[in-house]
Amino acid sequence: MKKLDLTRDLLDMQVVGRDGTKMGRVDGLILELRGDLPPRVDAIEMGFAVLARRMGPRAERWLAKLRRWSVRRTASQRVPWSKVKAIEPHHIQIDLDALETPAFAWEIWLRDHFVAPIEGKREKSG
Amino acid sequence: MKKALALTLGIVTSIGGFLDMGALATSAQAGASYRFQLLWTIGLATLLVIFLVEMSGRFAAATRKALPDAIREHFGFTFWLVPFFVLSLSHLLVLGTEIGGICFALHLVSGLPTSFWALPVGVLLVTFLWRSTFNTIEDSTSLLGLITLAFVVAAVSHHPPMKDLLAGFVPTLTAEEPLKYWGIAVSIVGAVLSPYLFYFYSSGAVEDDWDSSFIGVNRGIAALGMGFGSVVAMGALVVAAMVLAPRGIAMDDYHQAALMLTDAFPFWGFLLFAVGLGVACLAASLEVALSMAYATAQTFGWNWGESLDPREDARFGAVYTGAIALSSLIILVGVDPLKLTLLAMATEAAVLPFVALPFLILMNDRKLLKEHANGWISNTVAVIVLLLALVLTVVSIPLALLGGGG
Amino acid sequence: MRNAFSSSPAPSPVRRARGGLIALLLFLIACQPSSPEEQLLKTVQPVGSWLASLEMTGRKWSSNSVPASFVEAMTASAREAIGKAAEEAAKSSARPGLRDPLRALLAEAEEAGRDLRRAVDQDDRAGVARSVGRLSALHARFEALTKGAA
Repeated sequence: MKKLDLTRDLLDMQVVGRDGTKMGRVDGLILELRGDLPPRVDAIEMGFAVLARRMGPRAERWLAKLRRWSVRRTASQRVPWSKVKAIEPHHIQIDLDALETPAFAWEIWLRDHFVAPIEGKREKSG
Repeated sequence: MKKALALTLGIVTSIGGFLDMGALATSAQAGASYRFQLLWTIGLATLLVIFLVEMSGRFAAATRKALPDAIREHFGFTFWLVPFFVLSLSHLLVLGTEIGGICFALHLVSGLPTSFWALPVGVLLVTFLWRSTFNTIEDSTSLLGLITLAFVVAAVSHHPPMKDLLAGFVPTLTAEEPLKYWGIAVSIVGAVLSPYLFYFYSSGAVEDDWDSSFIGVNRGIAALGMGFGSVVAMGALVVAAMVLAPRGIAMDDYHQAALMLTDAFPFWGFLLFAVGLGVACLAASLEVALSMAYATAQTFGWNWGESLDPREDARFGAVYTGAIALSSLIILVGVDPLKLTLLAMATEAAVLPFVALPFLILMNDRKLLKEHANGWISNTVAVIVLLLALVLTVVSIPLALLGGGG
Repeated sequence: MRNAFSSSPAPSPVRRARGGLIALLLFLIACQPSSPEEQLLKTVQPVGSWLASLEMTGRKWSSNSVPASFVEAMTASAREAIGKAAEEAAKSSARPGLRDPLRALLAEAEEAGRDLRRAVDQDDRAGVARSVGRLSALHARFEALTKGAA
């Protein structure tokens, strides 16, 4: 049976989507406690909120205050273990399209509100 | 053939890109106040940076990963948080310094105030980064930077007394006004051993698609590029020693430095200084802004890459845009470029152990680097760098406050 | 290993380093010049460099090495620096034998800077040459005053 070191080989790994796009990192893990049986990895978590929680309760509260001002209310994202396709030495492959996920919400918002209008103007005048 | 081209280009761009606001200001200050006595500091710092840059390139070539990426992955977010935070702080201060340098150069040429240029320069930088690819930026600005060789030409034309010059390479430990002497020495080390430099270099190697076959090329670029590049900084020091020191001109203000080349080049000297400074700072500011974006994007696992269309990595683009905006603001409100430079150099020296330690630990990871992990020579230098860095952290900011005050 | 970094208290080497830093700062502060004469000399020290800078700037303008806008910027920076030194010197409690000649010199320096700027603005080469001569003399006097007193 192959063993997986959660902190070394899973946590903080680069997460790559179905199309090969970098989606983020494994910021946290959700383990399922099953009584007498050993716990099981239920899902991986991604997002600033997850990182804030790792740093401490004060950081988590501080980030929650900041989020009230943010345009995109991207919560932390949970990816169920069933969606994890492969664990490579330097990244985790998941069976999701990056664009479908909240992880990309900021990316898409920036693209639509800043990049596209500027690029669009350039194409019109150029 | 391709490797030979990469080697040549790498060396040439390193020479052209060596001088920046920090290196110029600290070298000129050293020459003006202490003549040749601080040449040894430039030499020592260069020797150390050659090793660090070589390690950085070797790491990226062997693992095909950039440093921030690898450090977060290997050490975890909580450990990386402090180095990342101080690295970002250092990035912003240095970026402000470099932008200030471009603005000051434009002020010299136009007569308009330095702060006036902050906004246009900021917009220019963002546009350049937005629309160009990595190689265009790196190569064009660093090649233009070769104009700073004017400092070497000027230095030679002044016929400096060789005996005194060579004596400057022997460390003198006591000097007049020791606080000021050591303050300048520390700021030179901060300027040459810039944390952003070896972090940026690793990301650059990944952008250039280096693999382990480039390790020899990397060694050449590090040794010859940095080595010859330091001659430009030494040239600036010698010019200041031959032009400013004899007249009793210290560098309390950057305007005094602008006079440096007017003895050697009576007609072109003023313009050469301005253009050289402007171009050198242009190259450096693009690198620092990119370095900040690389470190941030890699830390959080975002898509990154200067050669990507901004539509594909909007967050990466947002980081360098935000960094440039913030740093331009510092110049816009009228912060004195020279004072900002000295603060930034002291900060660079102070954050060095935090950002160097994870890097140097990783260089010994045989699972990651296999046969390319550090040997005993590199590790000896690594230990020296860390010890020096620890001393610098303690003394740099106090010295900057007490020694530079004049 | 990772959690150890976030949850462990500051170990004693860090406390010792902090203590060492405070001691170093106190030592450095203690090494500051103590007498009012030394304090005054330290305050006015940059003025010598500024006088030399103005002189060189004037000469370089005369030889067409630097533009008028640069002279403007240089005299402005010099005026600010010399003005600041003059302000500090006025407050000094150093002996009048040192303080008064220095204050007089600083006032003359400010005037010489203004004259230089005016001469360049009017493209008055003879005027610039006079200013340069004056600045050179002031610099020599400054060196004599400060070196003699130190």
